[in-house]
Amino acid sequence: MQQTTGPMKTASSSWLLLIGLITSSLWPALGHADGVFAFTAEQATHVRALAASCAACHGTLGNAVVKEGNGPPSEENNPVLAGRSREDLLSKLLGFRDGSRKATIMHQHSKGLSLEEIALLATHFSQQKPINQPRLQPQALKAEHG
Amino acid sequence: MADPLNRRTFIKAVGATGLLLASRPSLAMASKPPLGRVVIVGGGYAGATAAKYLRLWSMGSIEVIVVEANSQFVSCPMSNLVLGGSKTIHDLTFAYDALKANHGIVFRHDTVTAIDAAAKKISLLGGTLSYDRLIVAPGVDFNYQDWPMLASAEAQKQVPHAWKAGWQTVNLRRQLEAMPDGGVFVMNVPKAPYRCPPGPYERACQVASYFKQHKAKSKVIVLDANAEIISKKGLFAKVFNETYAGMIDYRPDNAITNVNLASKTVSTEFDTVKADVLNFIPPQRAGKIAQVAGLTEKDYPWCDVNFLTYESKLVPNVHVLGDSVAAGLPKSAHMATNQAKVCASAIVQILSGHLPDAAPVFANTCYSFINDNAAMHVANVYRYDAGKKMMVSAEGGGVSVSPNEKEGGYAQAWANNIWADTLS
Repeated sequence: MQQTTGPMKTASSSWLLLIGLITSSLWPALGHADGVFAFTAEQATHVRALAASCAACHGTLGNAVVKEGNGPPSEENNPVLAGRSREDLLSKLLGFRDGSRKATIMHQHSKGLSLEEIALLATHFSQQKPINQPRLQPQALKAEHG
Repeated sequence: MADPLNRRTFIKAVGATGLLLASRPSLAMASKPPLGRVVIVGGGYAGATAAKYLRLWSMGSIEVIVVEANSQFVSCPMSNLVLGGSKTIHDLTFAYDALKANHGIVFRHDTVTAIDAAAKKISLLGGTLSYDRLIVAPGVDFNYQDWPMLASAEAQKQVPHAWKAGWQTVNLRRQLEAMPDGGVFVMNVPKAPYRCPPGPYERACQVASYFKQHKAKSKVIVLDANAEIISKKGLFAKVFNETYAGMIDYRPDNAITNVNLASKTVSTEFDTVKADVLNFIPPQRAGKIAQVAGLTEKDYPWCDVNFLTYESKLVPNVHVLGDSVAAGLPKSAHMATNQAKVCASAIVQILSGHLPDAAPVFANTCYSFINDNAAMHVANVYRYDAGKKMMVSAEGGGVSVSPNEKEGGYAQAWANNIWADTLS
C-alpha cells in the first residue's frame, strides 16, 4: 500500500502495529511450516463455514463473479479474495475494523469478527486458487413452474 | 496344468482383492460413498447450498440426492424488481444443470409425502429413498386457514401473493400494467415472522417507482399487521415520506380482517379500502413437509433446531434449514445459505467421526431496491451464544446511510454471486 498523506500514514502505521500484535499473539496459534500457515482442525472447521458466508458477495472460496477478467471492483466486479496476499487482506480487514479504511459495508462486518477470525479469514482466502468465475446464465421460466 | 481347484482359489483371491479395491473410494467410483448418503428435501437457496457444500467439504465422500418438485430455480431476491419493471422473471430463473454436473449431485424431480425417521426412509410420489442424514429445506407454507376465499388457484389469479417468485409475480406485474392511471394498489404486510422482513416494504417502493414513472396519479396503500416497519425502519420511513411522498400511504397496526374478492375490497379494524390491484401476502408457517413429518410443535408453526448442526430438536438425524427454522433471525436467502453451510460442515464432521464447530459465526448482508437503480443494505455478523444456545447478533452491524446507486450495483453483484455460489 502506498500512503503519502498524513492521516493515511497514521492509519497505515496503525495497521502495521495491529498486524504486529496479531502476528505475535495469534500467529503462534496457527501452525507455520515451510512458509505456509496451517490451521488446527478446529480452526479449519470454524473458518470454512465463516468464510463461506462471504460467498454471497465474494463468490465460492473467494472467487467473486467477474464480468470480464479479474478487473478492479465495480458494480459487477465485487472484489475477488482468492489468492490475494494474506498481508493485504489482513490490512484491509483491520482498516475496515478500526475505521481507518472507508467502507460501505465491510466496516460493519469486520467489527463483528474477532481478531483471530480476521486472521483466519485472511489466511484462508490467501490460500484459495483464483479462477475466472463467470456469471450464471438465466433462462426462460417454463409454463409448468408453480 | 489346469487344476480346477487352483483356478477356483485364484478366482476367489482375485474376487477378494476386487472387493478390497471396491471398498476404497478413490478406486471405485461406482460404489456407495464411504461416509454415507444425505437426502435433501427442497432445492431452494438452503437445499441447493447444502448439497454443494456437502460434496465440496466431504471431497465427494458423501452421496447427495436433492428432491425438488420444480425443474428450475426462481430467485425470490430481486423478484420485486419484476414488479418495478427493471427485471423480468426470466432474469431470475436458472437451471440446476451446473450444480448437478460440477458436484455430482443427483436430483429427483418429485414430491416427498412422508418421512419415516425410525427407518431413515422417505416416501416420494414415485418411490422411496433411504438416508443416513436427511435435510428438510422446504421454505414457507402459506397459511390460508383464515382466508378460505383466497386459497384456490383461481382466487390467486385475481389476488396473487407473488411471495414465491414465479408466474404469480408475472401476473401481479401484468395487473399493474393494465391498471389505469389514478388507480390504487393495496398490499399487506403479514404479522412477523414471515419470509424476507424488508420484502414487503421494498415491494411498496418498487410499485411506487413504476407508478412514478408511468402512472403518477396512482397510489400505493400498505396495510401492515405489525406496529411499525420491521426492517430498515428509518430508511424505509424516509423513502416513503420523501421519495414517494403523496404516493405511498403506509398504515401501521392495520391488519386485514376481511377480504371481498369480487370487489377487491379489504377491511381492517379501522379502514375499508377498495383496490384496483390487490396483493395479499398470507401468514406463513414452516413448509408443509415439516409439519407432516412432526418437525413442528402443535402450537408453534416453525422448527426448533440445534444451531450447531441444524438437527431438529424433535426428530433425530433430520436437519431443518432456511425459512422453516425458528431462529429468531431474518428469514432471508443469505441466512438460508449460511445455515446450510454450517449444517453441511457439521454433517461432514459427524459422518467422518469428528465434532462440529462449537461456535459457528456467519455474516449476513441484505439489500433492498427503492427504484430501478438505488439500493440500501443491512449488514450483520451472527455468532453462536453458548449460553442462549442460539445465533445472536454480533457487534458492529448496521444499515446504509441512505439508498444510493453504488449500493444498487453492489446489490446486483450480491445477486450474481449468491446465484453462482448456490447453483454452480
